[in-house]
Amino acid sequence: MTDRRSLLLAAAAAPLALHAQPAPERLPPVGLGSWITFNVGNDPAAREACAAVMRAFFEGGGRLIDSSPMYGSAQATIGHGLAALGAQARVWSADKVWISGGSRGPVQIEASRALWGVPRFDLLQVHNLLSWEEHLPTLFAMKAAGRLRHVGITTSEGRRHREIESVMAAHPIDFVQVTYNPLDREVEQRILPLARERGIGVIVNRPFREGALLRALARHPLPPWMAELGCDGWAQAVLKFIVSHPAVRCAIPATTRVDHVRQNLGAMRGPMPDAALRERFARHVAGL
Amino acid sequence: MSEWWTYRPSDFLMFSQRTWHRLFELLNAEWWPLQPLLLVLGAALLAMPPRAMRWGLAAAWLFVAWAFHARRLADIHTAAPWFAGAFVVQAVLMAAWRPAAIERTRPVLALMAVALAWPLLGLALGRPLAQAEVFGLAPDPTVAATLALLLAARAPAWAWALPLAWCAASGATLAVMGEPEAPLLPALGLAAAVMAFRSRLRSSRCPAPPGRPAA
Repeated sequence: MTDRRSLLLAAAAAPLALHAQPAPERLPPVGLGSWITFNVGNDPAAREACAAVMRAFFEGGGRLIDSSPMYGSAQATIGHGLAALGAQARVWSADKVWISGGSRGPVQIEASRALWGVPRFDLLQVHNLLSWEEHLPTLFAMKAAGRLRHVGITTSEGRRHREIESVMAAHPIDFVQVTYNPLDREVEQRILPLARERGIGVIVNRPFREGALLRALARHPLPPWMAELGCDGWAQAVLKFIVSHPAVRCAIPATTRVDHVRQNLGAMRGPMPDAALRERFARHVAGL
Repeated sequence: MSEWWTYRPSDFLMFSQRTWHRLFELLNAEWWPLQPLLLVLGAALLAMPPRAMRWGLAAAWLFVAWAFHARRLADIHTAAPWFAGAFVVQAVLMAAWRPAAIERTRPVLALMAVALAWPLLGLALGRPLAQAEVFGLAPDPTVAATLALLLAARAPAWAWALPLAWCAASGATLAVMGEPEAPLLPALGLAAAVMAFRSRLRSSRCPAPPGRPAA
């Protein structure tokens, strides 16, 4: 019992550390991804459903929405939702450039901006490092001209981590987006420490492995020592594990459901696990 | 794409199961009441003279290329323009094809029956009729009907390539989405191709009698 109390006391102190994170920017630590879920085409009913998800997201205190030109109609769906909600000033817009050849980047970026309907992006990332050598100068020039606030790069599922590290070490990027969850922890070795060292914010994709992780965990009870952090289920426990890492600024789970987005945002509240509890949680999940 | 070997089929799925089925619902609403006419046309193809049949088939592939791939799927799938192009190529190939005769064998009739009954498949799996996939409008039943006609007319190998490629692509997409009917079209494609190959083999061993076209 004493152990649990000390764990909880340590955990309760953790949010202070989280919110004391340095530049580039403080963000609500749970964002909204759009891969698959917002690619609904020109379907009016589905677009309204996505707008409802966005409304719940903003009402719950969320800000960062992430998309890419690779995500089909997701950018147009986000633009529709932002216009319907009048939320262009509320959103923290994170998009990507995803095209071979640097000369084609600006046209794609402008097309993306028009689809979102925002005056400028808060963050543009080179998607999966595609032609990053050519796109990064464009993005830094946009930032210098005040047409972009932050520059980043992305990867997912553990691909090209060495190259990610070299870009982080050699270029003044603001954000890096990687996959991280209790089962995919490779980034803890080098990328997350390097991000802290360099003051680079980390955005986490695939927190639930596109839902597969939660479907697997649903067969097991949530350990009481995570429930005591205020987690009402596995989704909040996994998100608390992710966003309580000192290098992580935001996790971006994607969903089509209003109840799920509210549940995800709930992970921002209450005490956070400390390093020992995070490790215990990851080991517990890996052992299931 | 670097590290291409690390990608799984599921990494290429850009949309959800729900969005996929809504696509057909919107397509059907757009073209209603064309669907019953298309089913009648599909049934009539087997009864038509061979040259009329190939025009009907070419028209079906062209219409699916435009109405489905280019106008619907392209909204949610970056590969849709390529699919549309492939369906146009198959339409051209069908138009250029010169079938001599049609053999209405039992396997051919069974294949065509499955293709035309495709709308019942979704119904049996608990989906509404509004999301039915219909010959001439949706790719899978159009390809299934094409397999029947290619088999019936002993089509040359080049006419089979794209339909069989679609069987594989569609099967993989549905499998990644977890759809129970995923193996159906690949199985039909495989069965039709094996039957066509055996028929060709038999023909090569026993030359056709005078007046009857060789395969």
